Amino acid sequence: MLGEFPNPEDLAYGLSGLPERPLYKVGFRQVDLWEDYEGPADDRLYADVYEQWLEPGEGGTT
Amino acid sequence: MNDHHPHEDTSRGRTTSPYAARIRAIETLLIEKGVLTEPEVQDRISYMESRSPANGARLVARAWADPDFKELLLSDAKNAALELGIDLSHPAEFLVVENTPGVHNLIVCTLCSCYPRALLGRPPDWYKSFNYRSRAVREPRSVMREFGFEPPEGVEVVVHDSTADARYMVLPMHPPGTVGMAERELARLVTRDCLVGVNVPRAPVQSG
Repeated sequence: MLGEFPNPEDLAYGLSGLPERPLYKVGFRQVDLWEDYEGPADDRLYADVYEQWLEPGEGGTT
Repeated sequence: MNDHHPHEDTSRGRTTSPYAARIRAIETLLIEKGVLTEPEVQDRISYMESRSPANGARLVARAWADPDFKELLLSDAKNAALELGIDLSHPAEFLVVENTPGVHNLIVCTLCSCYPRALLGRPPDWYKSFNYRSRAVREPRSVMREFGFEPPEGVEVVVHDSTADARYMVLPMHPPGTVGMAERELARLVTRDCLVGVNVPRAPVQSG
């Protein structure tokens, strides 16, 4: 969790972006993203993702 | 400074491209209509140009010299920067990620050109290129190799894609062979590329 920020989708249209939305830092294993990834299995990629861009997964824990 | 002959003035990056001409036309209109004044525009340009990778390098050199400062830099970059008189009062979050013997960090913005400008100044053209933005996440090790750096065997490469409201800077490892160097000299080893993570600082080559 990186904090809460005004919603960038609203800001893009000149709106206030309020209420602020939670922003998460989401990590992936590179080998899960790219079939032919060049590096070791431990390499990771983190992207900053707003809560409203996420969907509930299956069988996840809270 | 007389700026009314833009075609003769290539300082400040003023070029004769159609985009530059359009911006100058808009600027002239805004000034004519009293929305902006020429000094305000110049102050803003000076402010943008006053920020450079030297700011980031000072933070790194202090962190290498002072473990308490390093801890603050990693946990609260805005306050750490303020201690050195660098103002990070930008709405975005500032995060400093630490390289260790086991982890090497690399920064990219795949969407556009998000960059910790207050610490590093304006991003270089390659940082904004489609090539870097697509390849840094897909094949970071090849990208670093092209910059002349190959993470040693067993080091994890961690890529941070600043897709939203956080800005990232890398805290490189203190290069071996620089013990006893003054902070100011240490800062000179820390280049912009090291702060983005495409390279690492190296001890100066001893001549003679």
